[in-house]
Amino acid sequence: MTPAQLTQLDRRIGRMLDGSIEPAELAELQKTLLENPQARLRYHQYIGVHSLLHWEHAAPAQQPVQQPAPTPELATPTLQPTTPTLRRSPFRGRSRSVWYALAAAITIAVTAWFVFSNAPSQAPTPQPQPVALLTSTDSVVFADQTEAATPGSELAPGVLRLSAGTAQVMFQNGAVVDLIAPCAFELIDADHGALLDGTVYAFVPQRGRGFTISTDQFDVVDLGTEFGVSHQAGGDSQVHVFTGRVDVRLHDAIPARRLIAGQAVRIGNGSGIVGAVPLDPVRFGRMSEVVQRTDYAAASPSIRLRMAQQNPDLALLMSFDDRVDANDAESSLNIRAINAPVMSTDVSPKLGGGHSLQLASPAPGEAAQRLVVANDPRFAADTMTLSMWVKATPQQQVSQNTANMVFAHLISTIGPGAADSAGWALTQQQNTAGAYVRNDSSAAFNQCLAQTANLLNGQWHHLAIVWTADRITSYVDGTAVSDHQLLRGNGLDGGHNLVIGAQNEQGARCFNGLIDELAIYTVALDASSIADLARGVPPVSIRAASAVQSGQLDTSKEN
Amino acid sequence: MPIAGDQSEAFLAHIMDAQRAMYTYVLTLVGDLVAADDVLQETNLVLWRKREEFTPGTDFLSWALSVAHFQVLAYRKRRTRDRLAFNDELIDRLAAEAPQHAAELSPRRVALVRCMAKLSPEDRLLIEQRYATSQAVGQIAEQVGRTVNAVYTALNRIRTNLMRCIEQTLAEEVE
Repeated sequence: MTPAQLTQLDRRIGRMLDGSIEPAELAELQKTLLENPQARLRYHQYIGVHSLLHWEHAAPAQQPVQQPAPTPELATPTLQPTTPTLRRSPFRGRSRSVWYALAAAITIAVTAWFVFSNAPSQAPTPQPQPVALLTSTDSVVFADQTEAATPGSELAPGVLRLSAGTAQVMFQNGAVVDLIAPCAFELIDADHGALLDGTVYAFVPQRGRGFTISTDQFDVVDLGTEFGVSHQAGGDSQVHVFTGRVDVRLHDAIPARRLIAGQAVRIGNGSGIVGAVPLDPVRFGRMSEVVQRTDYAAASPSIRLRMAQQNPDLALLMSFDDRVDANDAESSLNIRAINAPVMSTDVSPKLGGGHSLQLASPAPGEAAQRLVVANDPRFAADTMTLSMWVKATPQQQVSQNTANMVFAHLISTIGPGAADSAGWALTQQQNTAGAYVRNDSSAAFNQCLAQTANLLNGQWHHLAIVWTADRITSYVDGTAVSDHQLLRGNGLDGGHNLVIGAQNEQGARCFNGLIDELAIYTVALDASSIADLARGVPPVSIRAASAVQSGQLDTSKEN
Repeated sequence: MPIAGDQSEAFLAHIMDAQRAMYTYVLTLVGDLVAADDVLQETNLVLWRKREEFTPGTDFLSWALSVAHFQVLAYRKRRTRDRLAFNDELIDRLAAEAPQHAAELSPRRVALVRCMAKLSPEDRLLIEQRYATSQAVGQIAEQVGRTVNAVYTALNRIRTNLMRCIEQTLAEEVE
């Protein structure tokens, strides 16, 4: 291209960007760009310069914003609800819009948005200044909200009332709060919210330290952490700390009570901190970061799971509550669904809701429904606990698809090989309706553990098996029903995948019924922990610490 | 819901690093400053929602630009044909070339800073008025006592000079 042509091209591109190009000129520009690679190169370079100028001048320096020290005396919530104003990016200017967009998409670090929110605006408006940003929603329904609340909306002080779903709000100081319906939450200022009623979960980055969630009874002051607060107006409250630490400041008591990661307390209405409760991530939506699955029919042929989980004692956790949970933050578990087992809303009353895994008996000649979890050495640890809820279907007998019809396998690592292949399985025996744990090896075969446990009564039961060095103990509904010497033979790890609902991947000896809250721990839980599980405490909340402290596991070492 | 802090921070860093390249890519295809902002905003939101799908260790920018591409196509579907700058054929060609240019912004950014220092005070002020304060050209024209056309022409001249300067600076570095 000649210098004159290049000059003309530059002018046309410039006019296009400035919005002053005439249609005829635009058509000429398009024709030139289509026909001439050199013109396109020039176009890319010109756009690049414009883009860099835009960013170099528009973007504020990305430096940490100095936060004022948190005020030690924190005000109680202003319990005079006003509806927060949602402001949907009315500003169309480029500099702010770009950073606004970035901030809207990012729920953790908010330097850019903070800087812009504090930058002098070109046209001051009488509207209240926003203190937070609506960063995401999931099936949310806002009560009293006439304006569409979409991610990216700025939020001025006031009360957000959720009647359904969840919403995530990012405060100007960087704190991110999940509101879980039903919930009424007041945005007070850039580092302060009030929970009027319901459940919230807060993630507070370093720069947001001092962020406070108040109720009419107490303040929770963040000291760099992740925590959850549930509060029932006029009733009890709970504070759960997942990482870091918080101070709980009762309005009528001094001093503050400091809680650290793993601690949770119940606070009575007017009676202060009543006592400790089990940490419950499920209550605060901490389990919902995994793949959403309402039906395994959609999970084909293979799904990779990743889960940021908090309980290192867990090797596997599948709650079946609209998702597949796997306790494996590093390597991911690979789970396959075969013949599309489905989710059922039939769950143990003690679990209070959610879903279970439904495994139907196949017609003769058809393969069973089952889940296959990739083999993991932790499924054959020296000490181990298996916990699961089971409801066997009484009117339908053990699957017809196997010749010998001996056992229906609830869960198995036996594999397809000969009877002496290493592995373990929890089975329901035909006719006698017993629960067995079978440890296959050349030296230990079919260890019968609890023949008396009746599983075929159409009721939900909690089953737990605890392996230690040389003992194996089984529990039904929280009560120990057997305790035997464990013959390990060649070991429990035959290298087979873990199969839920059948003996092996081929689908032999399948189970007919419902399974829920399946957990495998790499530790031996004690009787009280098993009893907690049987009461419906979420498996993720159960740690081995109490077992170690109680010394109840030491019997295995004495044998 | 927030994912684990470390993962979120890492993802955030990826998004921050990619903003310039994503903006350049989008602007290349839509040719409209306001639309580019909107599409970038939508792209950021989609990336954040899809953050679980990104595999750490893989090419984030490539993934982000592919997401941006779909957002550009969605934007084009929403717009009436007469309001689009370019036709589909040109968009396809530009889209094929744009990732490479978008990915090469870093050295250009360094060169731009040097080139900005060579501008006359008047030209630098004009650029700052246009980009730092997002003033409309008409507004700038009023302030500097020039016609709108004169400001357009001046801005264009400065951008062209900066572009030449950047190319020259990069060429000198290679030598």
